[in-house]
Formats: sequence, C-alpha cells, structure tokens
Amino acid sequence: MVSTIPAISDTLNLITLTPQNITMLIGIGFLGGTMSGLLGSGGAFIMTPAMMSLGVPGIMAVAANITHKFGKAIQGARKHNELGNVDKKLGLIMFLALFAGVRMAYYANSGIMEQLGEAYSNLYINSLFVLVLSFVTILITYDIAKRKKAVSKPNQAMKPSLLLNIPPVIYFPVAKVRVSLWIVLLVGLITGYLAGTVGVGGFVGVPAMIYLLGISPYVAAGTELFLAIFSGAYGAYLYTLNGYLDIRIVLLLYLGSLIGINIGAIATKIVTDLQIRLIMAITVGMVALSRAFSIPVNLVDTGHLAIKVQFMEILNLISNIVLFGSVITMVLILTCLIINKLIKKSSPVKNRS
Amino acid sequence: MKQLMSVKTQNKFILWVLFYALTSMAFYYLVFFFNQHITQITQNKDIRATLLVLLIVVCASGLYGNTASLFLKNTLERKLDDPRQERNDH
Repeated sequence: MVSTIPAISDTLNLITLTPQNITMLIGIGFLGGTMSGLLGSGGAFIMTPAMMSLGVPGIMAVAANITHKFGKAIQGARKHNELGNVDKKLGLIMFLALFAGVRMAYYANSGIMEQLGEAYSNLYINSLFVLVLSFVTILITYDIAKRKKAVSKPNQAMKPSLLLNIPPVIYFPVAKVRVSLWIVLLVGLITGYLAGTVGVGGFVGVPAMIYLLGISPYVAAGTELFLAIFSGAYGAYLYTLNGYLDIRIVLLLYLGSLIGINIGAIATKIVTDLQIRLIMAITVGMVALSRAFSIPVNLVDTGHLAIKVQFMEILNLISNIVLFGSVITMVLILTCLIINKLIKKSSPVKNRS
Repeated sequence: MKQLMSVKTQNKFILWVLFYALTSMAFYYLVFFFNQHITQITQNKDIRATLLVLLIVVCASGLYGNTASLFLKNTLERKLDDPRQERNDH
C-alpha cells in the first residue's frame, strides 16, 4: 500500500557513486568537519554547495547535510557537556522557536520545490546563501575591527542593551547572562529557519548568541551543538518522510567529517582568537562570492536570463575554484600551523639532548 | 612502573580503536550491501523510513566517531599536549 505512493525523490536524480564521487564526498565531509571543529559551527555552508556542484539536487544536498548534522551534533554536544559548555535551559527555550523555524523553512523549501521545480529551489537556496553569508562576513569583519580598537571589552561593542531588557527577562546559569525571552526566541527562530533551509544554522546561531545574548564563544558553541541535535533530528525526520534523503551520501560524509571535527578541535589549541575570526571571515566571504557566481546559472535554468553555454561553464568553473579554494586553503593553513607547532615542540628537546 | 602503565594504557587504546574500526567497517559494509533494501524503505513516505535513517546515523556516527576521536586523541592531541615538551617551549 505504502509502496504505491511515489516518493518525491522519484522525480529527482540520485547521484551515481563513482570512485571519483565517493572521494569527493569524503573530501567535502573532511573540509566541512574541519570547519565545524575549528569554528564550533558551520561546515554546512561548504558542504551543501559542494554537494550541489557534484550534481546532487539542492534539496537533497540540504537533506543529506541536516541528517549528517544530527549524528555530528550528538558527538560534539557530548564532548562539550563534559566540559560544562552546554546551557540546557537556554537550549530548551531556544528549541521551541527553533522547532517553528525549521517547520517554516521546510514548508518554504518543499513548497518552492513542488510548485516551481528544482531550478527555482536551487535559485532560492543559492540566493539565501549569498545573503546570509555576506551578512555574516560583514558582521565578523566589523567585530574584528572593533576588537582591534577595544581589546578589553570585545563583546560589549555590539550588545543592544535596550532589546536585552524587554520583559520577561530570564537568567541562564551556565551561560551566566540575564536576557529577554523575546531575543532568545528570535535567535532560535532565525537559527531554525536557516538550518532548515540551507543547513546553515550554527553559523548564524553562534555569532547571534555571542553578540546578541553576550554568551562566551565556548558556551555558545556547546549550546548550539545541543540545539543541533534537535534541529538535525527534526530536519532529518521531515526530509526523510518525503523521500528526499540518500543515506549513502550521509555515511560517506561521515568518513571525512568525523576526522575533520577532531583535527579542527585540536587546532583551536594552537590558533589564536583573532586568527580564528580572520579565517572565518575570509572563508565565509569567499563561499558567498562562489555562490554569487552560480546565481546567473540558476537564472538561466529558470528562464530569466539568456547567456552562452560557454560563459555558463566559465561561471561554474570560477564558482567551484573559489568555493573549494577557500576551504582547501584554510585546511592547508591549519595543517601548516599544526606541523609547525609539532616541530617547535620537538626541537627544544633535541637541542637540550 | 610508569612505563609499564603507559604501555598498558597504550595497548588498551589500540584495542579499543581496533574494536571500533572493525565494527564501523562491518556496519558500513552491511548498509552499502543492503542499500537497495534500505533505499526501498527510505523512499516510502513512512515513519519507518525516518526511524531507520536515524538508527543508521546514530550507529555510524557513534562507531566511526569513536574510532576517529580515540585515535586522534591518543596520537596528534597527545603530542601537542605533551607537558614535558610544553615546558621546554618557555
């Protein structure tokens, strides 16, 4: 009875697993995992477009990413909880808004997919990517500039104190902040919507918690991972229930991402706070640029623009070079920093002996 | 005595890494071997699809995640955290 109902994914193209595609998926997972481990969030912003570049339809790339996030968040939140970095009270309140946000995003995504087709769905996801990532880049760059001016009060510069005091005001013991319930719900709603739409929730949620709620980056990262368990599980539930998920992609992503997460986390011990923010700003900015290059191609697919095929291929090539180049460069820099640190640590021992 | 303890800890860690690695390999093999059956279930608009996917995801991330975490914690992280070498830095 159930099998007579056609799955929505019947209309989509499932990716063929060639050795090249398998290697690419593991590589994408590794790059995304390293980003998550280093910055406490993110990873999705590289993984979703990279999967789309391999030929995975946008909505299936989002489904694979949000399902992959569920397992990754369980691992990450467990570690952060051991370190006392998870504010469960804040997490549970944010979850209510996040739940609504993911639901809204799902209806928006599947509505566009069903009503307008895959081309419009890809255009919508790409456009939202460019907007969100450009905003995040500007926010981090602004923060870096502020930090250089006022090193002693880094988190005070962007805190909107009037908004934070709108009643009811709640105290969160682990995060050690007193903040308006409405701001918490707003942050949760936005995070949920972005997580459900493009799979990029934490990259907005973590900066929002740091700059709007005044929480330390460690607690923000831990609480975000705690939240990601729910958003990931709920997103996986919704997308799987409509046949958008290819489980093979998720498992291949894990092969790279779970190694990358650990390497990224270890790298936080040797990279300074300013270096992390600079890496974040450069990488996110380049990914936004990469997606901007692919928007004309989406417009051609939807019939709103007519350009030559050769020009489209050039745009696609530039988009891929910028996209993969940004994260590969970041991972290479990290590898160099780790190797440099290992050499520095071993050289004084040799000198003494 | 300390060296003996270190060797014991080292052996224990290798055994756990091997255990998780082999279990992960077996799990991945099973999922990819029975992929057609799994796809049939996951393509149905059914609660069983979601439950199966969540089960696979939790098992895969748990088994393989522990393999990667244990291995890197006892190799790369230990080298970077070595307090004897840390003191020599200053």
